[in-house]
Amino acid sequence: MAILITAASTAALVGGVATLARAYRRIEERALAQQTARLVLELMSRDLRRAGFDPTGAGLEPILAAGDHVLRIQADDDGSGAVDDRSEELVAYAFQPRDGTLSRVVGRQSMPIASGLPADGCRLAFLDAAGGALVDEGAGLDGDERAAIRRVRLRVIVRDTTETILADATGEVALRNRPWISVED
Amino acid sequence: MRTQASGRAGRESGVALVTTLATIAIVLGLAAGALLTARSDLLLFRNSRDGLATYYLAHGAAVLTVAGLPAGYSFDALLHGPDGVPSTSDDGTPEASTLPAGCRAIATDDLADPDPNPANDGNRRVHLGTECDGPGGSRRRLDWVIGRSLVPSAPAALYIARPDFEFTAPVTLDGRDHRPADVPGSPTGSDPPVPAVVSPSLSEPLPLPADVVDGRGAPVAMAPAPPIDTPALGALAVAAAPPLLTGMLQGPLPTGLHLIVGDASVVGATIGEGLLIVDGDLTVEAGLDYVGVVMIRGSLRIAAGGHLLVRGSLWIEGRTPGRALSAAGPLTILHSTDGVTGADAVLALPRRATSLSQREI
Repeated sequence: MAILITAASTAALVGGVATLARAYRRIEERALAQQTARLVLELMSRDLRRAGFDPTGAGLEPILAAGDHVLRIQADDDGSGAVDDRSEELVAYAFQPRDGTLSRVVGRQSMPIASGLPADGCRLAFLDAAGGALVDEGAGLDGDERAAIRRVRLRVIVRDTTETILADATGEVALRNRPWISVED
Repeated sequence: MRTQASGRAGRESGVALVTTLATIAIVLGLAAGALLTARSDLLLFRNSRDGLATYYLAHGAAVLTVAGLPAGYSFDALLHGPDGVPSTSDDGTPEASTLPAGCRAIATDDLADPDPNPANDGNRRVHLGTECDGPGGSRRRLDWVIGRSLVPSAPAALYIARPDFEFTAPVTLDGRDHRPADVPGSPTGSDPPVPAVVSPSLSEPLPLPADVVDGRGAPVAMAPAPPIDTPALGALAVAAAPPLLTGMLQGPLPTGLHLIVGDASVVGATIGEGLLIVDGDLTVEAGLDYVGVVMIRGSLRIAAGGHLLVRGSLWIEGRTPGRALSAAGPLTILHSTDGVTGADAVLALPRRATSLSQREI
């Protein structure tokens, strides 16, 4: 009898430890997912806020490409009057829904900042001055539509293999810079 | 002698203890895990929230600093700091009163300035850096490029640098947008209204006498506003070297820049259009009807029997001793964007500072 009880207790203990280990793994996954989502939002927000930084008034367009899965911005950080395409003055975000990788492309160097995202794990929405959505019909927004962008809405969703949402972070960033000709009080 | 029952009870107590301890350990572990999850989530959100709050604190500091800068031309005064002397420790420091607690701001000349002297702003463009310490030990730094607005500054129907006035006759100040041909009280302009009267000497609104009304009949309160760089405008007018007017005004004036060096008096019915600058005091003893901007660097006195009608904007610097404005005759000022724009076409009026470009660093 004692052996049975001891065996049952041990089994329960082992099961508990296993449950505990799973719980910790889950915690780590959730924390990592949260950190990933926050990191993506933070990076994209910072880049969007400096998009079009143009201390010499060269007339930089803040957003060079905008679509459901792509965003490309430029800024003249060093005040040279030109954008150096090998530096952080030219930054792109590209999301590959098939493999769930979101990359930040600095100049010509691509660096994955999130991987394993679901197909809908990175959503970009572009809003005009009235708050209306500018819809990407497949080829990205054209020049007029990009010029009309005033805010960008970001959403990052991280799921596990069972499709359970581990992190769901959203943010909305107003563009700070537009070509000077349109700067009015 | 031990009984069988008591021996079994002793063995069962040991198993129960082990089972209980194991259960407690598991429950504690799970609880600790849940706590850790909640705590890590909380910390992430808190850091994110604090960072965002501090970002907007720094953004607000930049907005307040820019909004408090004088309407003018170059940013030399800002680069020289509150003491007005270049190459001193306060260079580039704006008025501290405009900044939220925990924030600092400093202006520096921009690299694109054709004037290599960092104490001089040759292109009406400077960098404004703001840095704020916010909640949770967060810190944010912003870099703004500021320049001048495209449109001339006309902050109110009446701008008075030194609010020292006396009214003993009807005074009407109307901040609604009038066309030059509009009758008083029936504006047809489309621009948004401006305050009836502002002064940079105030920190909060000051009620004016009850018989000073705006065009809609309501009593007027004088509102605080950043200064206008009237000395710089006066210097520009002198440099433009227009035909000087004598100090005795009467009859129609040709449209354009009207500069009077020293004091002036309106001794007969006078009409004019453009930009009228009186470098000293102006006394109105007859009727003066002007479309545009009237800038008086000294004081304005409207004598009994005189009246003044301005369709545009009236600016009084009040640099001479005594009352800056006294009206024993009727004073009517109708704000007019058309009138201000016409004056700006004659000679570029001061412009407010505005953000041209910004980033977080």
